[in-house]
Amino acid sequence: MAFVLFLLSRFVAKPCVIVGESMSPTLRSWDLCLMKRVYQYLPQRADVVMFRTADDPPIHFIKRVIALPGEIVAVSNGVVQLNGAPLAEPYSTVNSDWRLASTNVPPGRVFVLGDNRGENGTETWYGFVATRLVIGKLIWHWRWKK
Amino acid sequence: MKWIQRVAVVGLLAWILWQGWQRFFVTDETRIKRLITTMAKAVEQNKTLALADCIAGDYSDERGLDKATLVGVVRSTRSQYDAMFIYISDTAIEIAGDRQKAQATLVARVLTKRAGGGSTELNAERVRLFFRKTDSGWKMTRVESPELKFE
Repeated sequence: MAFVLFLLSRFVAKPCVIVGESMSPTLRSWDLCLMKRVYQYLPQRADVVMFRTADDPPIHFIKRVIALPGEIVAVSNGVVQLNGAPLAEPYSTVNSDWRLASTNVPPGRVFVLGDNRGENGTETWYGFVATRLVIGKLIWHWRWKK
Repeated sequence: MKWIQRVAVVGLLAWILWQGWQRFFVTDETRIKRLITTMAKAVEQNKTLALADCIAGDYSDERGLDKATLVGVVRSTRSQYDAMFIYISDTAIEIAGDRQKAQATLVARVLTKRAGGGSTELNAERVRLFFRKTDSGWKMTRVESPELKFE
């Protein structure tokens, strides 16, 4: 049984616990998540994904996919713009302090952001991530404390 | 009186054995791992004297900090949090050929709870620590934080 669970968590769906508030309010500290393992990630906007860094040893992060390869992304007064049009983000709030000049998302990469835009802290990381580093996609989460 | 002598002799023998074991069987890698653990515990428990004891007098890093400033920065940062937990993993240690210098690469995950019942935060960072062997054991001489790679 333990072996089956090990195989499932290794190859099918990986459980994890969120620590940190960078994805708040969607995911909050101590939320329990199930990430579907992906091997060749096909980018889809608004996916909540787990990715690793290319370092050895790697570090893992969970963020939301905002822009896909080939798109032009910008942040103006806290509003994310894709190819010049504002992106509706019901999962997040607008923080007018956020700014990013128009940038082209290179092929093979996606632009990710944390949902928590309320703080200017370092925790809400943003940037480009190679799709080959995406290892999981959120399929379920459960909050201990409502 | 005899039992006191016996206890003293047994104690002395145990101490000699312990020192001999430490000297001949504990590797430099183990000593450095212990030093890293000691430093992490010192930061968690806000014991700056214990932390300072692990750092070489000629410490310097890419941010321009020396030993005294580094300890001061750690103290002021630590005071912003009610609790701090440091989890060290993936430690890889390389000892130089002359066994007088070493470097360790590791992942440090720092879980903090802000003072006054604030939020819990997690920061994960890859760090590279440099060490030098001194008369009083291994001491840290430098810290680097290599940029994370996302491609």
